Amino acid sequence: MPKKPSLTSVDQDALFRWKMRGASSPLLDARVKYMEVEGIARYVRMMRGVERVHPLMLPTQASGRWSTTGPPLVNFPPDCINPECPLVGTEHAYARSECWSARDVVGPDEGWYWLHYDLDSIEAKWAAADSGDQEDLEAFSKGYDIHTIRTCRALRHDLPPLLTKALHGDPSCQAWRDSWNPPWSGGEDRRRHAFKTVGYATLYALTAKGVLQSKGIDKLGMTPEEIVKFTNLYLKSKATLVAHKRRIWDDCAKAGVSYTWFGRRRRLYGNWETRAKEGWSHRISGTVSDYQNQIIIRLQSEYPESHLVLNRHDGLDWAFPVDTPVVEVMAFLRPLVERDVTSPTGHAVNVTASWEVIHADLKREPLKAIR
Amino acid sequence: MPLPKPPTCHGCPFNTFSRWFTPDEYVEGAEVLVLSQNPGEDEEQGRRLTHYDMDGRRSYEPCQPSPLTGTTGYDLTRKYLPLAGLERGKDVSLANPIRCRPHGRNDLPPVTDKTLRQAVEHCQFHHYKPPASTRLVIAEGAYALFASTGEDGTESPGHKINRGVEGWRGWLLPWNPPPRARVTFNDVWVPSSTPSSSPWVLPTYHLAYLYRAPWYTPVSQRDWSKVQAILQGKWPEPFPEIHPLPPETWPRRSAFDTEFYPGADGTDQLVRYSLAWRGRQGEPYLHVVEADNLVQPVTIPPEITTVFHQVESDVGHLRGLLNPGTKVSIEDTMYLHAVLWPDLDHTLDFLGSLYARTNRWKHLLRTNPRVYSGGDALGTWDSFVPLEAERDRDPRVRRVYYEYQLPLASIIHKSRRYGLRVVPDRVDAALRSFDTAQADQEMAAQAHSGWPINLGSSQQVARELYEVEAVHLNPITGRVRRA
Repeated sequence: MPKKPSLTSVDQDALFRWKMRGASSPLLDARVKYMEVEGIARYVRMMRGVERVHPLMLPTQASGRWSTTGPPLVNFPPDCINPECPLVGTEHAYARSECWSARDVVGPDEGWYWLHYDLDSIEAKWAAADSGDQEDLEAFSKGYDIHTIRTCRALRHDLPPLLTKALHGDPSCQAWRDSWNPPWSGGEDRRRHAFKTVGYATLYALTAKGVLQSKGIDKLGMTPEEIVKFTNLYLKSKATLVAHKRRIWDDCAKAGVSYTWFGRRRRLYGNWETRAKEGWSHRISGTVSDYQNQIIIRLQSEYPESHLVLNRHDGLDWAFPVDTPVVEVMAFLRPLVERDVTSPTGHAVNVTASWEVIHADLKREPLKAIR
Repeated sequence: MPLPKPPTCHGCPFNTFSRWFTPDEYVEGAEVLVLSQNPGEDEEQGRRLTHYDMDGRRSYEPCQPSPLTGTTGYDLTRKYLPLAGLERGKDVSLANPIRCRPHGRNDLPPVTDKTLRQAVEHCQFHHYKPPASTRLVIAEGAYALFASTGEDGTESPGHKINRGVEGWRGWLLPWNPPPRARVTFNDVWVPSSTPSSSPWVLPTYHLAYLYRAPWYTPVSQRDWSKVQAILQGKWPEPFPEIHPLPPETWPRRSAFDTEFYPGADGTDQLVRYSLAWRGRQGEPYLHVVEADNLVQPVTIPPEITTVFHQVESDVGHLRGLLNPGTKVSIEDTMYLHAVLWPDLDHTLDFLGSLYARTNRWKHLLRTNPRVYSGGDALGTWDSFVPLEAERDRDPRVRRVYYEYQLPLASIIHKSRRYGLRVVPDRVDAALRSFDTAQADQEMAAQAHSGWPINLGSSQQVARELYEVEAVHLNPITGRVRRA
């Protein structure tokens, strides 16, 4: 049951709220980081001296999301925590071969391997297809770096000669990179990072200020005022999406109900803002849940000897016996996952994913290498 | 005009916390009494909310200080009393277990607080004088539940069975106010049909709570809709007789549940199973069969439909009871409810509070395991029937349930049975890493605060952040920061 927020709470949500209201304190930051670590460490401590864990999964959350508890492995972040990694202590995920995260405290049994995929920007793709945002759809279909394009559009800068991620290092884009002040610093450029974060946060927020409630926005290194400014710039460059969202918000709030593309229903309650926000969120996020459920059901039916490891909402881990060749599985699974999906508004979008195999010796192998 | 506290308030631990008193509103001859929490400012000052204008502004009229005249009372009078077939001032009394506003605020200490409990007892003893005609008390929220039954959320029998307002909501309880000892339930409680001096208690959410959790609105509406059925003796039905042996012929459609414990070899050891269904006239059939009686021969049709609540744990036991070739069509009330009402809880206790035709059984986990087990099967059946009808009214929902939701049950069960291998070296290394990261943050915090603050201590951090640094205050205005 939801409780009234306390004025003197020191939980993460409360401290995040103060921060987004302009509070600034090294102690506050330290406590937030401490509790973030503690939130994972408490479960890992319980796994000490345990041979196996049997997470309880329930696909019964609102919008069809799954909950995983005992332990909540899907909530473990991908940040590298290997004490041997030279980059440990900096925020990075699987940047080097020796990197591993809290997710990797469990692994496949001998004689098994795990196949893992992450759907690429799936909710942004659904939103683009739902709204018919041609620029985004084209960018997705051609593998363009959508965040750089959005940054250029929002800041009214010329587009680079190359639009794929190669633009960050390719010599043909040097002049374009130098045309920025300060010069463009690559894939981790602060402006690109800001618009990427704001873009995802904006997907579900009703207003530019609403973006401040998004998780992770405080790590952007910007003041709330700067974030709102960036968000407004971003929204101005996404007229189609904004107009479509407004239409869906209104429909959902009026009808008091929202459906995913595949027909999952959610009744909506509260005031107009709450109904509008939940309705749009369900339409996009719930569609991902349904998409994943369909894949899971087909996969189990095709490979009855295999089994589910974890459903990460927009990613999946699945265990196969080693005598089931990866190539064979991929021949079945890749077309099931990576395909064109048409939204109820008639716009198709191509779903893509990044693939990985995790072996019993815990080595992770990107699937490109296997191919 | 507010009313000063009467002399009977002397001795109450809340007496000195405020000056004003809000008396109850009794209606002679009324069979129903709504017990709320404590008065708000409108109730205390004697203002009745009469309407909202187009911009949401409120209009008031003066009235005698009385319960439920503000926002909550407005909704109660216009939305919820009509659902219960009641009309304010005519056939329903209104009361609060605390009749003042301590420190001029609506918020009260938690219901487990000793002072609060003393205040409730004192206030009820001196000021609660309902008409003799009162047969049903609708207890709105945790404080009213405590004041009318002594139930305060403690002493759960286990399995997350809630004995607070979240758990008792929608069920019927005997009137048993503190300081009487709490009732020990050994059986499903059924109100006596003979006239009695003690009313019954129907707990429900406090209406103000619905402003914070609006998705529970249909739940509250359902609770209020039960009132006439209760008064007319139509709900709850008596708990049916339990047959200790399997039926001679296994029903074509039924609900099934098991009790088991994990055996040493890793398999589940069946303790008993329960089987329930209703006939054409709604007559219940309930069998609770102990593991010792499993050999009883029964005739089993070649095709059956079985309803479970969380099928994963029970379906294996069912297959063990049936002929190998029996075709079982599976239905699951948890998955079905999750598709129909995704924002609500999906436990059987919760579903029962909405749909069961009998009274609560889940709290009998320890005191009456056979009835507990039988209630699980019957409650599953009673929940399934209305949910099934609702499912079939929306073809899209039906499709999601059968194609994207129900097939997940066996996949999840299989996954859970396998489990995941824990890598001990990684666990140790991860914990070292976490310890280092936390130590770094603690050092930074200590350097900033100037004393060896423990970042894991909520008390120490709260004191430093709110009392010393005052992060919640705007440094320019000195007021609490607003979004």
